[in-house]
Amino acid sequence: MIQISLNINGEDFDVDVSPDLTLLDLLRELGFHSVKKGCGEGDCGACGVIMDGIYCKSCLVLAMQANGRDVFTVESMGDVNDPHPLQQAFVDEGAVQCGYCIPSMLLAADVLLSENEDPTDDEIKEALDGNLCRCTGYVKQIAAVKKAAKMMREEENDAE
Amino acid sequence: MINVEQYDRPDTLKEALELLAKEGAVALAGGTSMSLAKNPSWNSIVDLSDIEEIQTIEEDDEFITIGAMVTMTEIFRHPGNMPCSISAAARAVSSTPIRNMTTVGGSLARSVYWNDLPVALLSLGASVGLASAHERRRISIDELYTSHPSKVLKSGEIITDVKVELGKYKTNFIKLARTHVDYALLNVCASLEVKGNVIANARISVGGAVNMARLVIPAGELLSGQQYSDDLFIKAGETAAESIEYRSDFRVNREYQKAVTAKLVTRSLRDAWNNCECNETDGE
Ligand SMILES: Cc1cc2nc3c(=O)[nH]c(=O)nc-3n(C[C@H](O)[C@H](O)[C@H](O)COP(=O)(O)OP(=O)(O)OC[C@H]3O[C@@H](n4cnc5c(N)ncnc54)[C@H](O)[C@@H]3O)c2cc1C
Ligand code: FES
Ligand code: FES
Repeated sequence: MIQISLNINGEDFDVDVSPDLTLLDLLRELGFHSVKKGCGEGDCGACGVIMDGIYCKSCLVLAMQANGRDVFTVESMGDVNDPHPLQQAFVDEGAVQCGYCIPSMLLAADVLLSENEDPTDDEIKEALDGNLCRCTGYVKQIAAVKKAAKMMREEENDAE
Repeated sequence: MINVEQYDRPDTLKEALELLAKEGAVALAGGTSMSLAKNPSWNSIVDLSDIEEIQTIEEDDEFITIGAMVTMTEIFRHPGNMPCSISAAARAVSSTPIRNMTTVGGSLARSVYWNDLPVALLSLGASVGLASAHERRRISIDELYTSHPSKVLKSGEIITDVKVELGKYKTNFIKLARTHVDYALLNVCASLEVKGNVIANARISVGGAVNMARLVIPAGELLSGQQYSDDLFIKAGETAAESIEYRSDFRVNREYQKAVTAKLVTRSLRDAWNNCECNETDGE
């Protein structure tokens, strides 16, 4: 067992992990069930999280690698009562069907919008290219990210 | 991974090399293949991701030096003079999260058929910095690929950087895959050292259709020292297609591999000659 400390969505955790435990399995053991295990080998993207500002696949990160790191899952973005603009836009645009791929897709989009406040369709496609969705045709998700970007730009203008 | 008892993430290369000198220690970079690896002989993991000295991209008038822990995303976002085939190869790797994690050192050390970046580095004749607790050395990429790179590295030795001469070659990289995120069916990189209308030197490399990145020497030799002609580019494509030892690939048959190698080597040569944006000089 290896002792690690990490911060998940702003909360500190000290845990003992087996050396072959992945960050994905650790997050699920700790109750962050928005992080999905689709393939467990880097193909589907349902396990996407943000670690130290970088969007990555948590099935390809060993839990011990997360020692001292800040990890964000979709639980950090918002909830039904106080949704993030991306979450609201996904609902408004009908971009969600079964929902399995959506938590990680929202995180990938969140990183994109933090770097680029007005992305083109191609930039959105590239940012979401690690997230497989078996239900939708991606079209509404691209529209939703555009809409969220617009909402966030407007919010920022209003704040100024 | 199951017998690992120690995990370290040192801040300096010196500390990392001392840790790696011990029996059973192994380097971890982006972790995209290490996280899935199951080697019972490993007892200690040395995570290289906090070592700043191997995370930088440095340029002077002549060379660009890319640290081993630089990721694919950092390569193609680099605002300076990244040779265009290196950027294209980095961008061709799988998907955003994989590009965010996969490193230069991990790609070279792993060198499976689908690793895109090594194909560009081979074509551009990079040199590779190596370090162990006992020694620092620099070898040509051709030497790193005399066998599988992991066999050329000595025990406890890691890749620290790759260094590429700027403006030397007109270059082009092409990846052929069934989808944007699939493993390459074929990778081609053509790099031409041009003097006026003469090709002083040509280095053509392939990946995807072979076990790991390799130079296609007969095709390069056919062009080196010759006046430019499009017919020659077609012949070089045909020569390349004939001289490669193809891997068997359940997605495509041998005939397809050959036909597409001929076409894409020719296309890559044409694009290097006509459209390379990172070397605009005509090699006067
Ligand atoms: C689903 C998926 C799809 C992928 N698709 C592609 C693709 O299309 N194209 C592509 O190019 N790659 C692709 N990759 C990545 C590729 O398969 C390897 O996993 C990757 O190149 C390894 O790099 P890394 O930095 O993650 O290294 P790690 O996984 O950390 O390490 C890999 C190996 O390299 C050694 N190593 C790492 N750094 C060094 C160093 N500096 N010196 C010496 N040895 C070192 C390690 O000890 C280990 O043996 C994909 C990966 C996945 C999971
Ligand atoms: S679980 Fe499928 S990519 Fe991680
Ligand atoms: S909504 Fe079902 S997988 Fe994307």
